[in-house]
Amino acid sequence: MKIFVSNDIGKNPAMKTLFVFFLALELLFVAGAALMRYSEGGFSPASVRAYYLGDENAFTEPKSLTLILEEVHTRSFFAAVLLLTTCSILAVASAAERLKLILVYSTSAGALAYILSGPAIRYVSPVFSHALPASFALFHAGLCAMAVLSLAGLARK
Amino acid sequence: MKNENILKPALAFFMVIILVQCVSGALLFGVKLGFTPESVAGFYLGAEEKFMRPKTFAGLLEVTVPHLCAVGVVVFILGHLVPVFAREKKKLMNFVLCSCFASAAGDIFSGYLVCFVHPGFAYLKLFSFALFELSLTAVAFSLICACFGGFPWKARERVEQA
Repeated sequence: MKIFVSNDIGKNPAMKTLFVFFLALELLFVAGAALMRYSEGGFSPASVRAYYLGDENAFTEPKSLTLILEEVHTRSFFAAVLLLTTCSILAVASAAERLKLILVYSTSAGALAYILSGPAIRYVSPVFSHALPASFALFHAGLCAMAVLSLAGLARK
Repeated sequence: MKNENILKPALAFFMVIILVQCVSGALLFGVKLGFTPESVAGFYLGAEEKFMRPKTFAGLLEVTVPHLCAVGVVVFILGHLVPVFAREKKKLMNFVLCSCFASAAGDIFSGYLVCFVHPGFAYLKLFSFALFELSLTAVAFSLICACFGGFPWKARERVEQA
């Protein structure tokens, strides 16, 4: 873990290869997550509302508390691990500090909002159906941007 | 330490999301298993009045395998961050981390003991889960405090030293 507190990644080709493959897999994860979101009803607030609150026309029922909690539980694990690992790699990559900070804060905020917007739609107000696609985009685009920036930074080292 | 400006906010958000996961885990435990030994035993062994069937070995494995991976990863990440960011009370933090791993193992495997050995192991399930949640929350809280300048009860010491 010393690699995350020093910047000598250029002297460690094995670690560099590991980072590159991890970031490539992460980009595939973002693509997969977008496809999953699309298959669950799409990105519009109306489809998100129908997914969580049910739709009489489509004979779908509102999501139960157990399903909502399981969704929060799994999303929070993936978001936490991906966020910390990607931010740690971004920290050692060559890029402007200010840009790194903006990405860390915006992606983290997007992750938190994405995790909590499902239960908010179901138990607080349907108006949060606007927050879910926005936070989804912010979180996953942020992960993409951090991955691409890190790959570019690693290529320069 | 280099890269602190990037790592500290990332770590703080990581801890907050882990706390969200702790809360959702506790709520899921309450909704699915309940917080009494009778309800935990009923979840695993089945309950005719609630039309619940006993858990099968394959069904238990479907929950065990992802939890073994996820819990291992999360506690490992927390464990390796403690000596870097939270250097105070090393022995206490080591004890809390060990209890994290031990209680996680007890929580994960006690389901099998309830199903295939004796329903009395429901007490072990409840105790292990509670200990795991408490120790994970304690480590997450310590690391959040470390990110924001130290434990709140040490604020007076810091002011005096300044």
